[in-house]
Amino acid sequence: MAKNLIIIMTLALLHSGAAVSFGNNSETDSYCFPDAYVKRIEKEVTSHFGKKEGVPVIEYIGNMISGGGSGDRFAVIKINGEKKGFIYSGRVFTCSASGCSTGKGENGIQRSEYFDYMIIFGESVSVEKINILSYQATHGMEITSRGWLKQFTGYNGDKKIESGRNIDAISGATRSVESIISDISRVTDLLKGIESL
Amino acid sequence: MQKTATLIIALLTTLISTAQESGHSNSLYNNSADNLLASDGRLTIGGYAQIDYNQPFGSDTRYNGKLDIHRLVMLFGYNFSERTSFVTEIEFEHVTEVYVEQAFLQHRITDGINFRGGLMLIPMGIINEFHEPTTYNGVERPVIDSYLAPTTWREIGFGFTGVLLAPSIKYQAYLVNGFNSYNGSGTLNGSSGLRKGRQKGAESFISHPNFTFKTEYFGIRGLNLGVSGYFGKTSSSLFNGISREDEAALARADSSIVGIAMTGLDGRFTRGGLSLRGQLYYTIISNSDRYNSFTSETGISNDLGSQMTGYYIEASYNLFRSIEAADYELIPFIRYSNYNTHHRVDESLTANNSYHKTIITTGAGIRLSNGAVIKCDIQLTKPESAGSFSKTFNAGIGIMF
Repeated sequence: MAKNLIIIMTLALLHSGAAVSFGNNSETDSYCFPDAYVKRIEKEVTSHFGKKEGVPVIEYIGNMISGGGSGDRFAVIKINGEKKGFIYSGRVFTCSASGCSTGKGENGIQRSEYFDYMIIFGESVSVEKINILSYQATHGMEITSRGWLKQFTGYNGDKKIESGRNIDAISGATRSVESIISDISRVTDLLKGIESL
Repeated sequence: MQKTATLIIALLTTLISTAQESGHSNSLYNNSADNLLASDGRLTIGGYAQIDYNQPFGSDTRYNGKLDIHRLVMLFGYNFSERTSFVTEIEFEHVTEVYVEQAFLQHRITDGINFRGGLMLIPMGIINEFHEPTTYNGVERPVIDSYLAPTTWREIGFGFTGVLLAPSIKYQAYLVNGFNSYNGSGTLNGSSGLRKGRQKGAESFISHPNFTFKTEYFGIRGLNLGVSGYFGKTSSSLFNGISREDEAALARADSSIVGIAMTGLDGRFTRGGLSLRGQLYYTIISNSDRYNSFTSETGISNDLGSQMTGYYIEASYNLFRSIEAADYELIPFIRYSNYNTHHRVDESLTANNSYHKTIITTGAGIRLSNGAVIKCDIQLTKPESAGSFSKTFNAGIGIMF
């Protein structure tokens, strides 16, 4: 399924011709980050890449219609026209106090336990920074700690990440920890797949 | 052009998902479980269970061991929308007792503010909210979470909860029904503390609402610090049906309740394979002198204390963390607990030092996966009144899914 999605996305890119610069016009609506997070993402990008070499420009790659139920959104960061990295934002559904969903969690399913987050990847598709944009789950909020999220820095998909081994487990946040580990792994693989095509 | 691309993505995704779904939906006959599992994703199902073996040993007296399906809990939830959900836990305790542990509606008003109403867990300490056996060390819950905070402590009420990301704070604040301290006879005493006063939402009655809150700070990696509180008067059946002008009846009813002010401090810290946690409870009970006198039986005064304290500290370490080939986690732990339900007593009582206990629990858990653990431990218990520790070997399995 993952390979299919990569193919679909690549097809979409080919059809769309070129990525769209951030904030160009209303036609970019379907290819942009959620309104609530646009400023936050811009701020994080500027803060992370700095302005010494030039102003970072966010160019949208595209949205995933189907994925982990998360509405994946990808963009490239360019400075002076040169690729410097990538941004991802998406939603992770977690289990609630009453357990986990019985359904497949595809798009359009409304569930109340989730968090939205963003990843800044370097140009070689390794994780450089992760931020939680919104946390709407009942438990597991300890994963939003910046210190805890720093454990993923440098992750590029080559080595498996596991709770309790190379990622600290958090008592009472097991499901959120598992959810974000799984999603970071999935998104990194997806981005590597896109880059390799 | 972008719209065209979106349409292509949507079309292809639909074609692929349709093809895949048709591959495993050939059967015309689905049972109810099939229908449930094929639902639209709004239904959530979970569960946890704890099966224990407790064997006292090391004394001159012989005791039989106890084997018990201590708890078997099914959890169900439903997401009505992205903002509104319902959560319930149905518990079988010791196989034959059936309870509803939680049944509440939650609605997100805005980011960081959720309304919650129904039968809810009192947010006191760590274990009352995180009571699944895979979330704590040891076969049984820490002892102070039976006698100081009477887990699983739940009552009907309503309030607000939310996570504030910027300051790394989670808060909960609820108005809830209180303990039943009198319903024909007194329910609170020195040996079991407040435990027998829980109403659990089962035809519960209320004469005084109580307030409870918890605030947690989670801004530092691996650390969660919590402050919780519970304040109010207990409820008594004697308030029902009496005249507001009947001072004698009101005074009698007033003697059947106590005021409770409980505070809790807790901390959890995990870094690498090391986990530390600690919990402190301090409870002030007002009107205990009148209550003890009123609930005397056969001329012997009741013995509810006027202050109760309890704490534990615990350390554990995942020995297999750095062993690449190990699929399991092996987590030895040690916990030191101390509680006293007669920390202070009213003037008419003498503190009973058999209610002041020290408990040392040490053992290990083998975590087979995140949701399945095998545990064993030895628990040493010594009341101040005893000269030596009594010993119990515990073993059990715990699961959560």
